[in-house]
Amino acid sequence: MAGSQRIYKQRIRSTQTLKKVFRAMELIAASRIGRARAQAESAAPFSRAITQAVSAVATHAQVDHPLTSERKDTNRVAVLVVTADRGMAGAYNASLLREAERLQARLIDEGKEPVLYVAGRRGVGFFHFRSRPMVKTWTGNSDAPQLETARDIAEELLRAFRAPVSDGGVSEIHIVYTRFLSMVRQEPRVVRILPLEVVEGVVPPGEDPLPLYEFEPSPEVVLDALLPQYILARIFTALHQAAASELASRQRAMHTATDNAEDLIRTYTRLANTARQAEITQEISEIVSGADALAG
Amino acid sequence: MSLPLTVQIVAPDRVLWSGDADFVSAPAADGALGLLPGHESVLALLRAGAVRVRAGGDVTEFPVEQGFLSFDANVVTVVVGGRH
Repeated sequence: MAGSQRIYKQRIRSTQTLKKVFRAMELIAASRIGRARAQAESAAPFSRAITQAVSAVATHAQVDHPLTSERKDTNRVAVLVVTADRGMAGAYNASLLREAERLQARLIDEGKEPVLYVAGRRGVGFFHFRSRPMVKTWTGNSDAPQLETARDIAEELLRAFRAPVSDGGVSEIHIVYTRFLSMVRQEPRVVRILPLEVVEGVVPPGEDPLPLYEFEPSPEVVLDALLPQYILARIFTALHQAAASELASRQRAMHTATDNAEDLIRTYTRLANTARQAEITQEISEIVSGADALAG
Repeated sequence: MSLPLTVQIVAPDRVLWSGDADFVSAPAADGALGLLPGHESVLALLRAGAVRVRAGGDVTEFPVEQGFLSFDANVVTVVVGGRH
């Protein structure tokens, strides 16, 4: 009898320790979201400026540039999957990887051959476990993306896009990342960044059309120089969005875990109280029946 | 007094400078480019050099390795690229 009481006490103590851990992780995630969003905001003007410039060149200059036209010589396409380095973020990694698998299935259906580039340890582990070849991987700092990482990814992808078929050239580049919509909503997104589909930044109807620009030295050269920057901007933005989403998911997951730990503690406390009461009742009845036996 | 040009100088991860000015000069790929209010819209690549922003009597200089500049309706955006 005393045994079951002790077991409940132990469970309550261990759950309390877990609760403290969950609570701490929740608070850490919450405090980092602010920083992640501030970082994303300070990178936004660059992304905006580049996107606007690229749209201006692409719409006003009739340039036939290798980066804007479809490549027909290979059916290999690059897929960049942006995951987190750690779990403990609810369905964040799972739903992103599901989206990545869906994209790959679709590409294969279209007769293309996806090749994987993965950022984040969770994604690397996922594909490694399934023995899927990855061309290149990047890990570390998934919740605070560095410009250097973004640059590295951009250069690698652009190199693959420009490479000849024999050297692992690809005809398209897709990114799978999680878009941060709000603190409670993040959704996996797939975007094709090359060949160019200028979607973001295209002037919505009703606003002033893009001005007619004079290009110096020439539209082709300008586009040539802009595109690497554009790819960098798109990748950096995706990394920022993914980081904010990861932290928001982790905060929510840890909040739920804290609540669940509290529920468990409450249940165990009730059970421990019942066990204690049962023990007391039994002791009393033992004493009373002993006294009765002596008196009788 | 408000100045006629709105200038923003951005790097990939942050805004380096933003404010108003009355004259901007930049090292464009094929010769120095001076921008005064009312200049035609231009998108120019920059080579290594310095972007100079004059606001009133103050001149601020920004070294540039590579990048580009866009000018439209008196709004100047300088994007500084390359590794620092």
